[in-house]
Amino acid sequence: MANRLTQFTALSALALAMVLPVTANADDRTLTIYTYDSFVADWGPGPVLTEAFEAECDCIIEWVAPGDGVAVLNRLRFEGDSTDADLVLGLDTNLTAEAVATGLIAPHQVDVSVLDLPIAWTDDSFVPFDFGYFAVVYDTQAISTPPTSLVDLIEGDADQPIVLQDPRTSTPGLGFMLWMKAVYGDEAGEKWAQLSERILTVTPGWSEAYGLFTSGEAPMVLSYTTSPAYHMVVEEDERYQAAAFEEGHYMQIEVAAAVEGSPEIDLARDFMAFLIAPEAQSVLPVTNWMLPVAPGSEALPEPFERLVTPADALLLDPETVAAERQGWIEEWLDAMSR
Amino acid sequence: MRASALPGVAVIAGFGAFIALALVALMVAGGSGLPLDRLASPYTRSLLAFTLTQSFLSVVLSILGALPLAIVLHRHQRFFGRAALVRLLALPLALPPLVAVFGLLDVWGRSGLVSASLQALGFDVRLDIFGLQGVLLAHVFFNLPLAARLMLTHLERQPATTFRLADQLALEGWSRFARLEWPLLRAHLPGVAGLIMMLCIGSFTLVLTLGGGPSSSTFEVAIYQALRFDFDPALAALYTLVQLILAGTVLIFLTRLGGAPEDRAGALVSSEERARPLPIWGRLVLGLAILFIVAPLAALVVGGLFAEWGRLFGMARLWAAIGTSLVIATSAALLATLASYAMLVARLRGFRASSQAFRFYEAGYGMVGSAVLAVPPLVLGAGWFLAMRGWPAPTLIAACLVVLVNALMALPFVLRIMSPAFEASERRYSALSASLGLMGMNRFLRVDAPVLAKPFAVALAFALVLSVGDLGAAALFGAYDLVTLPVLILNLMGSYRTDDAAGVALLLGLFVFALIALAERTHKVLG
Repeated sequence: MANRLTQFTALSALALAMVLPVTANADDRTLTIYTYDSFVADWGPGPVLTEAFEAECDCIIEWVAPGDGVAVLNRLRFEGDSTDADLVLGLDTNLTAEAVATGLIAPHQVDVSVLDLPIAWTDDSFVPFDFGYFAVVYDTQAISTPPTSLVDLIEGDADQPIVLQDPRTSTPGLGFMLWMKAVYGDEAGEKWAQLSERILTVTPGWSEAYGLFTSGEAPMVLSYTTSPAYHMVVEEDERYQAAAFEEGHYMQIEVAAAVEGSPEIDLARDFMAFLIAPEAQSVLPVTNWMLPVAPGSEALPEPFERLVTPADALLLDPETVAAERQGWIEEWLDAMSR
Repeated sequence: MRASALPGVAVIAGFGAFIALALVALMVAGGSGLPLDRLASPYTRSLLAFTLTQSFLSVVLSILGALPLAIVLHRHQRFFGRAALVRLLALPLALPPLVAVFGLLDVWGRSGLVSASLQALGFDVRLDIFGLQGVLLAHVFFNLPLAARLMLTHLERQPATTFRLADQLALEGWSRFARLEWPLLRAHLPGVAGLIMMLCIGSFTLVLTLGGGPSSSTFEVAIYQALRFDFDPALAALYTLVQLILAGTVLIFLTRLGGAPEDRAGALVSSEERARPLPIWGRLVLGLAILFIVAPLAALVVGGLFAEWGRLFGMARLWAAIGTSLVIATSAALLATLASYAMLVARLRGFRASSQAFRFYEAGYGMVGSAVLAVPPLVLGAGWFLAMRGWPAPTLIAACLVVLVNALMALPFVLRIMSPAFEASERRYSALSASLGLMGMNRFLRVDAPVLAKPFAVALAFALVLSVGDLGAAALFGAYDLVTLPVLILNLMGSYRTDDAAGVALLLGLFVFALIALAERTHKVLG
C-alpha cells in the first residue's frame, strides 16, 4: 500500500512535469504578449497571427492569457515594474485610462494613418486592432418585429424579455450601462427602472447571457452587431439577428499597447504595426468576430455586408468612464432594485 | 499534546497560514489602510442580508429533501439502479455552476421540459425560474445529493448490531426513524448543514445568473467586484474577512445546535440486510429524487451529443485540458486525504480530551474544516500571486498553488466523510492497538488502512470530483497554459461554441463518473 502510494505520487509528479510548457529556445528573441484567453484559443486569432508574425520576425511569441481583458489589466497592476509583458493586447477603451495610470504604457510610435474607424483616433499610447458595436441580438423565430430603438426596448412587451450582463462584473454589461448613459444622461436611472420590467436576468458574464439566449430562455440578449456574422458564416444559420437602434450604438474598441521598459519594445511595436496591416485585419474578423479597423488583404465573407451599420457611433471618453463608473453603477443598482 | 498530534497541527497551521498570508499580501498591496467605512454602506448590508437568507433557505430545503432519500437508500440496499443512483449523488458537485445552470434550465426553464409539458397539457403557464426560487432550486440541486450522500455514509458506518437489534424488534417505518435513524443522524446534521451553508455563501455564478437582477447578489459579488473592476485588493481582503467571520459565527451556532455524537461501539461490518419491500412512500421518494437529480443531468447528456466530436477530439487544447485536470485533481485529492488523516489522528489521539490545547486545536479544526469555503479561490490566488511576485519558476508555483487551493477546498468534504468511520474505529481498536504496541506507520497499515479503506476511497473520489470541476482556482492561472476542463468549457462558451462546450461538459461528466467508479474499486484493492 505504501509502495503503491509512492508510485502514484511519483507518477503524478512526472505527469505534472509533462504538462508544464517547455521553455523557448534561448537563441531566439521572445515577445511576451498578455491577452484575454479566447484570443489565443485554438479557434481564436492567436495561432494564425503567431505563425504569420514568427515567419517574418526571427522571434518567438509567448502568449500569457490570465482571463478576460480586465484580468489582463489586473495582472499588469499586480506585477508592476516586474512584469514580463512586452505587449498588452485586448483591453478596451473603458480600461485604457486605468492602464495608463499604472505608468507601464509606452507611446506606440506606430503609423496609424491606415485606420478607418468611425471616430478619429488620436491616442498616442494605444493602437486599436478591432472594434464592435453593442447590439440587442434577437431570435427571429420568437420575435417578428424587433425593437428599433432604445425607447422601443424600454417600453416594449415584458413577455419578450431580454438577458443583460452585470456592469459590476462584465465588459458588455458595463458597455450597455454606458450606452444608456450616453443616450439618456441624467435620466438613465429612471429609464433603467422602467427597463427592469423587461429584464429576465442579469448574468455575471457574456457567456451565461448568450447561452440563455441560444437555449431559448429569452428571445433577446445584449451582444454585438457581429454576433449574427458568426452564426451566418460558421453555422450557416440566419436565425439570430441584431436590431438596429435609432439612437446609435455604443462602441467597443479593442486596443494593444507596448509596455514601458520592455527589453523587446521594438518587437512589440512591430507587432502592433502587423496587427493593423492587411493580413491580420483579414484574419481578426473571422476569428475574433469583431470588425476590422483598417483595410484587409481579402474581402470579408458575404454576411458581414448584411450586418447592422449604426447611424451613430457612441463612445464616452476613457477618463470620464474611469471617473464616473462607480457612481453610475450605484445609480444602476438603485434603479434596478426599485 | 502528544507526538501523534504534530502532523495534524502542522496541517492546520500550514493551511491557516496559507489563507492568512494571502489576505495580508492583499492588504499590504492596498497600501492606504483598510477601507473600513465601506463596510457600513447599505449596499454591503443588503448583500449580507441576501447571502444569509438564500443560504439558510438552501440548507433547510436541501436537508429536508435529503433525509428521506438517505433513509430509503440505507433501508433498501438491493433495488435495481441503486449503485448508479448513489454514484450520481456525487456528480452535481463536480459540475461547474455555469454548466449546471443549463441542465437546470432545460428542465425548469421558461422553455424547459416542465413548462413545455404543462403547455402540452393545455395549461397556459410558463415557469418563472428567475429570482430567489431559481437560486434555491439550483442550490438544492447541488446540495441535496451531497447531504444525502453524507448521511448515507454516516448510517453505513454505524455498527451492524444497532440495526440488527432494530430488525429483531421489528422497528419499521416511522418508529424506526424516530427511535433509531433520527437520533443517529441528528448529531451529524450540523456538520452537513455547515458545509452546505458555506457552499451557498460562496455561490456566485448561480446566484447572479438565476437571481433575476442585482437585488439577488451575494457578498461574493462584492469581493469579486472589489478585486476586479475596482482593483482594490485591501477592500477585497476586508470583505473576505467579513465573510469568514460570518461563516465562523454560523458554524459556531450550528455546533451548539447539535448534541455530542452518540457513542455506539460495535462491529464495523456493514449491517446484514433484511429484505424488506419498498413501501409506496419509498418509491415516491426515489422517483422524485431521480426526477430532480437525474433529469437535469440527462438534459446535459442529450445536449452534449450535439457537439462536433471530430473537431473536438482533434483539438490539442482538449487533450491538454484532460491531462492538466487529471494531474491537478489527483495531486489535490491525495493531499486533501492525507491532510485529513493527519488532522483526524491528531484530533482523536493527540490530546487529552479536557486540555486547553485540545480546545485550541478544535477551534482550528473547525475553521479549516469548514470556514475555508468562505474564502474565494480568487482571493487566495490573487494574494499568493502578489506574495510570490518575482520568484523563479512561476509555472511550477502556479501549478502548486492551484493544487493547494483545490486541496483546501476539498478538505471540508473529505473530513466529513472520513471522520465518522475513523471515530468508530478508534473506539473499537484503540485499546487493542495500544496493548499490542502498534504505532505510527505500523498502526496505519495494520489497523487504520483496512478499516478505513472504504471511507478513504469515497473521500478520495469526492476530492477528485471537486477538483476536476473546480473553475475558480484554475482559471486564475490560465496564464501558464494550465487549461483545465472547466476552463476549456468557459472558453468555448465565450466564443459562441455552445455545442462544443456542451460536448466537453459531457466528457467532464463521464470523466467524473468514471473517477467515482474507479475510487469505489480502489477500496477493494487497498483493503
